[in-house]
Amino acid sequence: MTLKISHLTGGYGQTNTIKDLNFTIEAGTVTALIGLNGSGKTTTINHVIGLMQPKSGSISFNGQDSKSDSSNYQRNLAYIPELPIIYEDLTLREHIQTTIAAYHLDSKLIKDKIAKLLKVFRLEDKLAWFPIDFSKGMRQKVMIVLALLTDAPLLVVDEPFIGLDPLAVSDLIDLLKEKKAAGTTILMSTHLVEGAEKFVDQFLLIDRGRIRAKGKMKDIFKAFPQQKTINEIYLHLAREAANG
Amino acid sequence: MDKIFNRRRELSFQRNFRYLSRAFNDQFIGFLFIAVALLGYEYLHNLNSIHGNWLTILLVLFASSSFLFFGDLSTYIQNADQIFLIADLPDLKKYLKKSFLRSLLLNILLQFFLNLLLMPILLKIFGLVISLIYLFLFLLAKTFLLILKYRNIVKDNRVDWTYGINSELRRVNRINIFLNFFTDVKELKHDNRPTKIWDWLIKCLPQFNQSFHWILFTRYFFRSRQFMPTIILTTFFGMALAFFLPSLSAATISGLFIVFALAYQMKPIFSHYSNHKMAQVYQRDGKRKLTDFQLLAVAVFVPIVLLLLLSLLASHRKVSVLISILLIISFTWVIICWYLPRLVGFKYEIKK
Repeated sequence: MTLKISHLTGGYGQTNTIKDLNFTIEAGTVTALIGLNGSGKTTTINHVIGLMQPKSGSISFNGQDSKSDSSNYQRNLAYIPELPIIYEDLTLREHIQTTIAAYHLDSKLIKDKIAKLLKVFRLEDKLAWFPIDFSKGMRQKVMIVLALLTDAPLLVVDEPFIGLDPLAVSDLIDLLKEKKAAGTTILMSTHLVEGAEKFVDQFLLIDRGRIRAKGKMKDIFKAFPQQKTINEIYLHLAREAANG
Repeated sequence: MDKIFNRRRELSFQRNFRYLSRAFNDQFIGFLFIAVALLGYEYLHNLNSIHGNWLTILLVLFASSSFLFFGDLSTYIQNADQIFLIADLPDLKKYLKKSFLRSLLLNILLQFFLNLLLMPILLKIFGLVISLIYLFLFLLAKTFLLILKYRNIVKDNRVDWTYGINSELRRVNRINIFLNFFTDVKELKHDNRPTKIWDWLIKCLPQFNQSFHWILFTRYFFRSRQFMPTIILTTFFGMALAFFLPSLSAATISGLFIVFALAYQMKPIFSHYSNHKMAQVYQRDGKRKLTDFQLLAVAVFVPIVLLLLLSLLASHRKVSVLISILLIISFTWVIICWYLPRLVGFKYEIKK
């Protein structure tokens, strides 16, 4: 179950936000996209989840191409967006029902799993609530619960820690570690390198649409010998961008 | 100040006309023309049989007072204005006064023309003098309502921003609800608080169908509160026409028009979640989506058509009514199977 991205170029309109990206994510590993705002992290994710079509290059998961075999490709992925996007007309219980329907899951088989996830994120007594009743953090928890109950072999997570309280962040890290151990391929984007370092296998530092460095954090620092911290690297990249 | 608000008014007109041009396509105009011509003919043709009993007077007064809901004070003020225009309060008040006078003029014209529709009955029942006095009092009542609203926004030396903004939002939302009657209006804000009766119905649904789009369609349909009131009103209107129109052919054509209009009301449901990120990521089965949509249409049309047919049967007890029944049922079938997929742009969505 490998996610393979080859020579991916894409963006909005005439602008190519990402240029010639190449990377592979093996099953049971976590890859994190890091970089400044506007560097191309979310655009990369939008291509991986099929919301944007590549201008050139290809994306495939387990041999299924995102363009030519989009239905099967998308059935294998679960997605947690940066900002929670839930259906305003549905209760939490109905959101779970739609996810079960979308992934053709057996509700009896995953009953315990749903109960466990709801308990972890303290949502078990909020099944009849509507999105309007939830805070921003709770909405994000709903998105996490829905994505994690699918057991999709590819999990795409865009800025997962934004809006969560420290307890929920710690719970999410534990769940992502569980998923990793179960063989799920995980692609995420994040600004919080310190929290993610413990379970991320590969960092991809993206700068102006290109991969500037990849590997463990020590490999990233090797590419920038003058900088001591990730913030210094970001500042350096920002200055480079400003100087053209 | 005037420049800002003139631009807003211009944009608002452009937006409304864009939606109207989408709604009033060739088929709709054609159907509307036939229905209006037929109803107009029936109205004038049967005017002599209307008598001035208390029930007729009550119905006319009720219809006339419902016109008061049409038209409102349009200010075009927005939420951000309470911050950005705070330094220009005197100018803003001048503008609000101008917009009040403009709204007043437009509303009086609108009410006048709406009441002209009832004028033949009013003249028949009350005669010329009382009808004119009634019209004058009616316009006075509308003026009073507009003044009341204006005074609630502009109070002495201050502007009640909360009231003004909410009232403008409600006005725009009412226009959106009206436009949504014919086409899908993205800006429509709906209230999805649960209601006991619909939630009871929704609870019965999971055993029936568990598919992704069925869950989305049914929840949006029952909870958004933009469909049920208009559909119930349209159905009652259709039933009244089918029951009261003396000519069977006119009653049948009005029944067909009601079925056609209901198809337009169903249209926004299909595309409501099309641009939702999660629906795009998870579901690509367009054919299943259309099947679920048609299934919802069947569930909506069956009781309505049944009520229309019962009304028709109740007032036209002759053999030829069977042809009308057959015609309405066949027309509904054509609408669900053939017209709805075209109306919602199913081919385009699959291509996309």
